[in-house]
Amino acid sequence: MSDQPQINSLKAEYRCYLPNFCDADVFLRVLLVIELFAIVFALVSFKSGSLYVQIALNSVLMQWIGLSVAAILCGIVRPGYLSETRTTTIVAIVITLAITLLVSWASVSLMAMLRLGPQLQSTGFILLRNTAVAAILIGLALRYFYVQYESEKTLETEARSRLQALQARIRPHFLFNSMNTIASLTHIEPDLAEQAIINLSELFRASLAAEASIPLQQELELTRSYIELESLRLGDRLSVNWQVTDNNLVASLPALTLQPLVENAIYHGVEPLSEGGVIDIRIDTVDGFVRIVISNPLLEDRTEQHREGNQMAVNNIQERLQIAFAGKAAMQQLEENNQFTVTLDIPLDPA
Amino acid sequence: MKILIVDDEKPARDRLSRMVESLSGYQIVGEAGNGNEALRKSEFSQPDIVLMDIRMPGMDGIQAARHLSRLPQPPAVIFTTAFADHALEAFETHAVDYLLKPVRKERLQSALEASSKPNKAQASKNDEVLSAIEPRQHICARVRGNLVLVPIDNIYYFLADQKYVTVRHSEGEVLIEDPLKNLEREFGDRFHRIHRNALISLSKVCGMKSENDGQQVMFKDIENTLEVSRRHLPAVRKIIKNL
Repeated sequence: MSDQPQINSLKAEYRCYLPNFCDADVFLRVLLVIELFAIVFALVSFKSGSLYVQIALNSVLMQWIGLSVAAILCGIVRPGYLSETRTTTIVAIVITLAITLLVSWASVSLMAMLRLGPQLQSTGFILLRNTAVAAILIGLALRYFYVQYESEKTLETEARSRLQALQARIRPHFLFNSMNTIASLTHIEPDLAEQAIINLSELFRASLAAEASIPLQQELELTRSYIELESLRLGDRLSVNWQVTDNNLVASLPALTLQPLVENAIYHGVEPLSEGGVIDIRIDTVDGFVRIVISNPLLEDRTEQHREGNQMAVNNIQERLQIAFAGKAAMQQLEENNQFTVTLDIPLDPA
Repeated sequence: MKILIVDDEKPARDRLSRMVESLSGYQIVGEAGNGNEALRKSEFSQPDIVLMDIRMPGMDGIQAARHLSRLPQPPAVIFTTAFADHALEAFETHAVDYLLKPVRKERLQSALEASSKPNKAQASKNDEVLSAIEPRQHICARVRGNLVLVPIDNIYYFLADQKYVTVRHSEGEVLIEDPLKNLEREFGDRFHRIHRNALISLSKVCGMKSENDGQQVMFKDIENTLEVSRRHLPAVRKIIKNL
């Protein structure tokens, strides 16, 4: 499960720049573009007689060549093959020219055999002309495929690096405070210290992993690990009230989406209160969405600085949700009666 | 040497106190969980050194250290912090001692050895350094031997009278020894000079009236008025107009 995204990204590196010609959609588009060129050539060279006949003749010849090339490419372009741009280009050009020569020669012979009309040019000239046209067209086509592939790749890389930049980071403050707690516990309560190290490891594993999304239940586990660590540090100043109606909700979300929200609740809500406070976490379903509500008390006269720090984390999560769910997830914040509430709606996975 | 440990996290206090106890020549005289408690315990147990966490609920470590430095016999303060608080850079440049948590025992020992009770002049210099990091949110006064903390938000005015300054706040008055000049420098963005002997809170003033050939400023909720000197009158007029 954890290896999945890495395999995907490896595949991305070794992908061929040509589209998959076995795909019906791609095949149809090849057909269409060739037909357009057939019409263009007919219009340009049209002098007398029927335009339709000219178009039909061009079409037969060009479609034969084009579809044969596409069919052959369909057969040889497979994931893992033709990964090198230069080889791909040479192979595609050689195939195209060979097919062009073959089909042109066949058509000339066929026309002569069936006496479909006077042969105005020599066979050599026709073969040369068709090959030149095919070379130019395949050159244009390959260039187009390559540019499109490159721009897709750039977009993909950009999205990936943006996601990495947004990936939840453990607050350094939390890390060193936890380390300090562990240093203190090792002497007095070695078992608790051990548990704390395990919890901290789990959080870091999630934070360092390249996984885009994890199951909701796993995120809840991470959040519990985090709360356990903070409880060691804050003692009875921190209490968390979990209300989970259904423990089998199947949904996935970007790793460390929930944990930072709880971290905010503790950092801005509970820690500044001398007597501590209660954090409410409620999870239930609403119309095909998992609704997660996190609520914390607020200090009455807090400074602006706290608000800004909070906003940054919230914006970060919002952007990650946007990338992961393409607008299908929602997050709302509400500040009322010295109580701060974040509501998160993420789509349930289809059963 | 008497040591007071201040941190809002119990495991952090436990660890420091265990380390201090393992060093000879130091004695822990108390622990506190926030700034207010630190001030009270300092009054009571007169520590030589205070190990002070920065981020704490209620009054934070820097605030508490500022009040401590104004005590008649200020203790040495060593800050402890988990990570680059905004203050660290300022500490570096002003040689304020601090320890990063988790604290190394050798580092704690050398910090304790290097620290000695500052004299009055050093203490007020420390206070000045810390004031650049964070202005005080309270005025600390002594009423019949007890420390009283008055939130800056509750203060109407400071009125100087020879050696003392009267602090009028929502629950009465206290006397402090800070010179008006220093108060004006520290709280200049929230208080304004209206006379050689008076600073008024901009959030508490509500108007001006003529009386006895002079102008008096009036405040919200209280009866007292204060005289505006001729020299400060134009500026005060402008402020009141913009209220």
